[in-house]
Amino acid sequence: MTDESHKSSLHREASELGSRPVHSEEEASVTAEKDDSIGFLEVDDHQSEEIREIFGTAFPQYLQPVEEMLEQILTGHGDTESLEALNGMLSSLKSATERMGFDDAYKLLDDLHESISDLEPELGAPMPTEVREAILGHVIAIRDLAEQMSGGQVGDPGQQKTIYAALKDKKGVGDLVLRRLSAAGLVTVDQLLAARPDEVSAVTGLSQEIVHKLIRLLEADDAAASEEVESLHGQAAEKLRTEVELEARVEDLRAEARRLRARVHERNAELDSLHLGLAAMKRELDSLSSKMAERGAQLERIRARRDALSRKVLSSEEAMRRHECRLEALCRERRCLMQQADGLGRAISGLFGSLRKMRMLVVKGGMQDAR
Amino acid sequence: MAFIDVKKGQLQCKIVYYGTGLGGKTTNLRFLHKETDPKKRGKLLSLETETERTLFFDFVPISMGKIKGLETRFSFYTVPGQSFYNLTRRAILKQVDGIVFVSDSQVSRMEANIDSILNLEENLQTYGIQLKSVPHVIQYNKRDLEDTVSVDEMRNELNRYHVPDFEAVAIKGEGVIEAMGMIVKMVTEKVVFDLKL
Repeated sequence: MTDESHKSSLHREASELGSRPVHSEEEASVTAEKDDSIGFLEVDDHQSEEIREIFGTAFPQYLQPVEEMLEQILTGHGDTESLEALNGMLSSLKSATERMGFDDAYKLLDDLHESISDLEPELGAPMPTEVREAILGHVIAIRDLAEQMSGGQVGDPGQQKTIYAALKDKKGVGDLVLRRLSAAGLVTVDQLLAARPDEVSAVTGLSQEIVHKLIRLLEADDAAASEEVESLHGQAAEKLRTEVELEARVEDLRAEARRLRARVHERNAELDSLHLGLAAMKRELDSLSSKMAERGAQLERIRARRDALSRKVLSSEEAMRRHECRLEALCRERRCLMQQADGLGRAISGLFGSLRKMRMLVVKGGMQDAR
Repeated sequence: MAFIDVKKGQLQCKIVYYGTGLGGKTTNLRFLHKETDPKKRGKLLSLETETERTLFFDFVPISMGKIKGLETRFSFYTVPGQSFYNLTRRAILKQVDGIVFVSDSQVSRMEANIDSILNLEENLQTYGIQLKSVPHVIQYNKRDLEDTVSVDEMRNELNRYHVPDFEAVAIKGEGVIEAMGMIVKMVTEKVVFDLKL
């Protein structure tokens, strides 16, 4: 099954069926990084129902320690540390339902979370009945929804003793450790006793040594374990508790750091996307600016042309005015000449009259001479 | 169980990546998701513990083209490998069409591999199914590490029904596409035969 020709044939088949084969080891190594967010194929109704059913079947298992912690707090057996642990567990479940898009489950968990946010538990002080009833009402609604999601296939994890119930009063084990176990889905004593310590360590982040100690604490019937329980009292128990708490807190901080790194990664991606958008806008702006510059130059040319035309119009008007003046002068001159012509005409007429008179006198004189 | 949506002309199949905790099932799925055309894949849904181990399951839908005029859609799931998540594992196996058993080649994980495949058979039996009747392939992962069990020995312990098997280094993508391609081929052949398409 591992010869090269068969591999390449499978690459081809996989490719034909929708997956792109790997081209090189280097590329493959790079591409094994997380990139969950991109994908355009929608989850259809059938797949959605299937996911809901799976989640609904497993959900009550994770809900059970929440209920037990609530019971402790409501009956006056819990304190602020228990409430803190409960808050952490609810946040973890809310986050899971939110990521899966189960809005109804998220809302119910959020309602429950909201309802316990104002509680101030004190050891030995049970909560008022109405508060208890209100909170338990939320729990019942969540259980009903889980049953509905699973199509009625919910198991009954309540028949098994939980780790929380078994370890909550043991010295050396804080609520933070219990929360880490619960957050990792380790709920019942049987689960923890049947599990491999290395697996428990891997999913909870607790060291294998601590996991071994927890398992031995659970095997309370074992004489050696009982002795160890005893020996854990006092300073040793306090030391273990401190170690466990510190380790759990370090893990919490690491988880927080991972979450923050993931957020930074997301923000960087957003920033990259914004940069890309900005670059596109800048390009558009540059293009608009060059167009504007072009239009400006065009406008300048038009203005220059307009100014030239204006100057030409002004000069034409000036020339026209000059011509008008000249025309006027010419008219005046013509009028003057005409007057002079009239005077000359009259003078000529006078001369002609005188001439005629002189001719008549000449003629008369000639006739007289002839006679 | 494969499901045909006549209205949409779709064939839906379910493939489950099963195996021991920390064996590389999620790595397989992440690589598949990354290598698939984004238009043909959905978002990878991954629910992890605070230490990045699979808490509930991982899920990704992938469209695989057309068979006999039907658009094939595969739902790929991984199960949480740790022994104490059995309730979730069993729920995910419901109506499974094909299984990729991802084993860890390290000597120290051999016992866990055997426990896991026995657990797979046990969980399938709760649905009245036998492993030999379900299309499945075996992947021997982490072959690049030192102190690994030989492939022959792993085959002897885990591949009881002589199904196709693959050596893999999932973190580098080696053997991932091969195993997926084979299981998709086996499932579609069985579906075409069973449903007389």
